[in-house]
Amino acid sequence: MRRHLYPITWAVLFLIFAGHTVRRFWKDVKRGGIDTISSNSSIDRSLEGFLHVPGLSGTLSRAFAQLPADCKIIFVYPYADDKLDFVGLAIGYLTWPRTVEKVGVQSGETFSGKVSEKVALVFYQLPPPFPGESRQALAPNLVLVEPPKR
Amino acid sequence: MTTVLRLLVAALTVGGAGFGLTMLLVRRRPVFWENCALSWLLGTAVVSVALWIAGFLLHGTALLMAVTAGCMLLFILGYQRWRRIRGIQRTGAKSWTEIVFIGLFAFEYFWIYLLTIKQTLGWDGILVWEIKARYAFWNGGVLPAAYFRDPSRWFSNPDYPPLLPLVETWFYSWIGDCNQFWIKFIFPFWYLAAASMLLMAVEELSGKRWIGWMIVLLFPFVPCLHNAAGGFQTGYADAPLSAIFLATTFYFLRFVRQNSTDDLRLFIALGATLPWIKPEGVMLWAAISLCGVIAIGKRRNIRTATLSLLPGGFVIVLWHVFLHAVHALFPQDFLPVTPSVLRHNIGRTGVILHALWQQFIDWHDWDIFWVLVGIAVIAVVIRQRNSRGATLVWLMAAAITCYCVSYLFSNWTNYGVHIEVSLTRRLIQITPIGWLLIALALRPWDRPRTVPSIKTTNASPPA
Repeated sequence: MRRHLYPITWAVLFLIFAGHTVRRFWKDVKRGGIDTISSNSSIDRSLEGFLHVPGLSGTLSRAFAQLPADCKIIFVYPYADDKLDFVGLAIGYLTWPRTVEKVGVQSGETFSGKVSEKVALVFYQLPPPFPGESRQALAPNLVLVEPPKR
Repeated sequence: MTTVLRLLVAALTVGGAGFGLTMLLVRRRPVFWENCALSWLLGTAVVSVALWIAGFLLHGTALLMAVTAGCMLLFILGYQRWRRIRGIQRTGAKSWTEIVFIGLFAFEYFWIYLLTIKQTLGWDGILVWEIKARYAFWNGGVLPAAYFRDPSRWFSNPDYPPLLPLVETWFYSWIGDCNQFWIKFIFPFWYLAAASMLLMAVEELSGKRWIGWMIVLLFPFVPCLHNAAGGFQTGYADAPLSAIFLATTFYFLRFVRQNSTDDLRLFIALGATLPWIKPEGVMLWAAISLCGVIAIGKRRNIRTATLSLLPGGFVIVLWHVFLHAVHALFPQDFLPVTPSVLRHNIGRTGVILHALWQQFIDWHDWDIFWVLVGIAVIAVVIRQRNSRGATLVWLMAAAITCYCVSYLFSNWTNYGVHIEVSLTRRLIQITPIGWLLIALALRPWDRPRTVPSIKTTNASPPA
């Protein structure tokens, strides 16, 4: 009997492991539908989770493609917002080869920067303070203030 | 449909190059599963290195053609050698049991593929790995030098080695577009390679092929391998690194047992790939190379032992020279490893060990996997006191220790968050080693032989 105790123990452990995990695996397989076939399917789905707009990467890429290649983009966001991480990084991902700078604005402060021929601004969850400049709403709470045309 | 065909052609070029290199390294015909795994693991290394080096001279279509020609040439050379080598290639399917296991595995592989195309690439899969592939694709297959020194892309760790991004670029170049859906097609190949290696390694360690199949079938059910960041479906480098580390360990263990030159060559070649995929690969390479130096020194000579370090060391040095030449920004996640930083941060030890313990008992991510590994370690220490048991326990302990110590040098303001986001996926890198320990624990007990005392009548007294 003692000879069989060791393999029996392992068999029981494997059964416990398989019993739990196969069910979990099956649940994961059944969850959700097949991802859309598109260039930016993964980043779109993540952005949709934050900004509630489907297929946003296309809008963002088109808007940023109109900016000159040497134009710097300043991403302005409320300092304490956790979501900024992904939205700001996604903008960094989509705007290559333009450089991106992130500026966090504390509550009660106002952003003091300005657009110029080489600088565009993206405001996330903050109203742009420049009424006269050309602006484009990329998504709710996400506004691009474009540089003045040369 | 055209995209699928192009993806298949790209995969065949990778596999062809890997097959060629494998056959040039060995003097026997590897078994079928082994050939598949090595073709992918070494093929990805060949294609990424070729793209990187040829990218200094060529761009765009010329680069694609040159690398394709190189892959075809390797395949032809390898095929000629394969034909010259006498011997029958074992396919593995010998009995009904084997066929049933293959059927079950094929069924499981289908679900892994389905899971992959259902889930999106993870955060780091996009912002650390795919980003490089995309920028390289836009730049004619070459990572733009400006990317390495762009502070606004510092978040994407430009200093990370480019095996995975350049393989992704290779597939993008073949399909003619960056596509986050189609690129997921490649990740189950690493799973297939890991499963093939696991089958052979477990069979050799446990002495039973059915145990090999059982562990192969259980392997993807470790929850974080299929539903957490770092798993096979998320586009991270951790699961591919785990597959390469498993293969390296397998050939090392085989070399220790059989002292075969083929296994030694494969061990060194796969080991050199470890630092080419992720910075943690350097730690894993150092841990297994130390074992390598000792084992090779004992079985061959010190010169061969020292030479075995050269390929991996060369990869590490070459990549750092390149980073220096392009004025790459310094890594942001870790502080320099100095005694003063260590002294300053030694107080973190408790938090790090607590986080590690939390991982071991985290049923959501691991279920009872680490309990099984823990029991296996105890069983191996009691029942398998041999070089293989020692190697596996050492690799597990060395990797976990290196991971934990690295957090003492974390540069994150809240290092607890750094541990939280990265420890699970670092443990994924050594999950197959855990399965190897379990396999060794299942081997019949190697009871130490009692040496009979020899009575001598004319024994001279000790000096």
